[in-house]
Amino acid sequence: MSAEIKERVLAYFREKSKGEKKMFYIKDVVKGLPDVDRHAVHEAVKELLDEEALKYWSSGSTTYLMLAEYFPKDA
Amino acid sequence: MTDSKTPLLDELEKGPWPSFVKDMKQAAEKKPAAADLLNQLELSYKDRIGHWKHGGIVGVKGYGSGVIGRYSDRPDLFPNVRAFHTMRVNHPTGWFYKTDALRKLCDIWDKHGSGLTNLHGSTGDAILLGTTTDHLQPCFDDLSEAGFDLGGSGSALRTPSACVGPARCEWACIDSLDICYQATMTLQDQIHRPMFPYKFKIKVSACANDCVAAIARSDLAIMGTWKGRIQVDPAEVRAYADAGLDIRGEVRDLCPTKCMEWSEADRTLVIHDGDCNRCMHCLNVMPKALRPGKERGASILVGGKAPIVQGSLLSWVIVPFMKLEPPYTELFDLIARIQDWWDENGRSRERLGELINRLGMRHFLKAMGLPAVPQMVKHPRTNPYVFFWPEEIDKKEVK
Ligand code: SF4
Ligand code: SF4
Repeated sequence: MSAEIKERVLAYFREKSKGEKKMFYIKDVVKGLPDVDRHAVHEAVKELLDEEALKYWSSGSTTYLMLAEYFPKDA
Repeated sequence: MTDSKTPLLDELEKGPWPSFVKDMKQAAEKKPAAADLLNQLELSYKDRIGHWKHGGIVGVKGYGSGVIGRYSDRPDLFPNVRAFHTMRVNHPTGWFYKTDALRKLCDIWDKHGSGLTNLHGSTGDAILLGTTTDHLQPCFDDLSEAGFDLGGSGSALRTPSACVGPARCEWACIDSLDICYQATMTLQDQIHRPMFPYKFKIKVSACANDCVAAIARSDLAIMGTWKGRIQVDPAEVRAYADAGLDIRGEVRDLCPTKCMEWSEADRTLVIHDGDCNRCMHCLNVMPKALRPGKERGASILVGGKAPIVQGSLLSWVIVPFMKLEPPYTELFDLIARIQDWWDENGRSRERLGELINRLGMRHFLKAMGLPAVPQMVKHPRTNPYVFFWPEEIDKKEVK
């Protein structure tokens, strides 16, 4: 996996998380890196999830992605 | 006047039906979480509003699905349901458990959760209702030790499910259990690591009676069927007639394609198999006389879903007949192509059927490399236009 793609994915999250919104669909991330193959983005995201730089957030029916530091603490 | 703390819920125990309130009261005798659950539900009935906050935590290490976070919005009143997460456990294919497996499952849940279960959720999983965040990983570890795994949730492949098929049912045209099991094992990563635009469901019914309602509830439905002639035993047909079955009214007249002839005089039944759509009606009415044809396989349908986001959809046939034998390479190749097309073209939270509706079936078929066939026609066309692909039109200069 290219470290560069992972870095760009993280940069996408950092940039987009500056506003109120912290959670993104995987498709948002793919759209945010239009020159990168969709499958490569998926792989990069999976690795970042394994490394716990990113976290899944789920409503039960839909899954979002977010930077680990913004993941809500347990209620 | 009663001194019960739950007068509204008590109403649900009255009447002839089993009540979940009774079950919850039983659980409440052992578990403070079940007691708080009961009291919070009473408050919800009183306030006419749910008191849950959903979402957040998704799973255990390495998993992005299988756990649904749930928190009380009144932890001040109900501290024992401050966190009350659901765990979805991948059910055994066809829902066959040995009693010792069920006992193990319940013992694990008594140890780690509220003891309350929902067997089974609408997707098919064994649903374990209510545990705290610190119990998620130890509970998962115990489940794994006992041979269980978590099922799907969120934007993932949901736990595939199948009818009991050849294990118990005379109508099975395919091995629904094996196909479902192989789908579950082959597509593990898609179940545990959500990467899709939204949920994706695969269900297998071994005949068109469709006991798992695959047509209405799954993005990809695999439906057992046959090719060729229905097997008819004329002596048994006559026996049904002798026993008083109204073959004209109950069988022939209810055949949806009107492809049967019944002669009262010589008591013979003729089926024009070319027009039969293999709906199973006549076979269900006369099981001793009629059997599915000998060449068995499956129809593959896509696009079914329940009403969430957009309206509900029934599936379309895309492959009228596929021979399904292990290792099901043709099936899994098709599933991969479908999911890839959906993933590339679908919007977030758009189900496969909605995407096909938006872009058009012909685009879908072209991408799949599937020919258009009569079985795909949902209803006769309502407009006079004929569409061609641009590359099919001879370019002639118009003077
Ligand atoms: S779908 Fe058909 S084969 Fe499966 S259990 Fe129902 S009747 Fe039997
Ligand atoms: S299976 Fe259905 S369509 Fe076919 S002959 Fe029987 S009733 Fe008619």
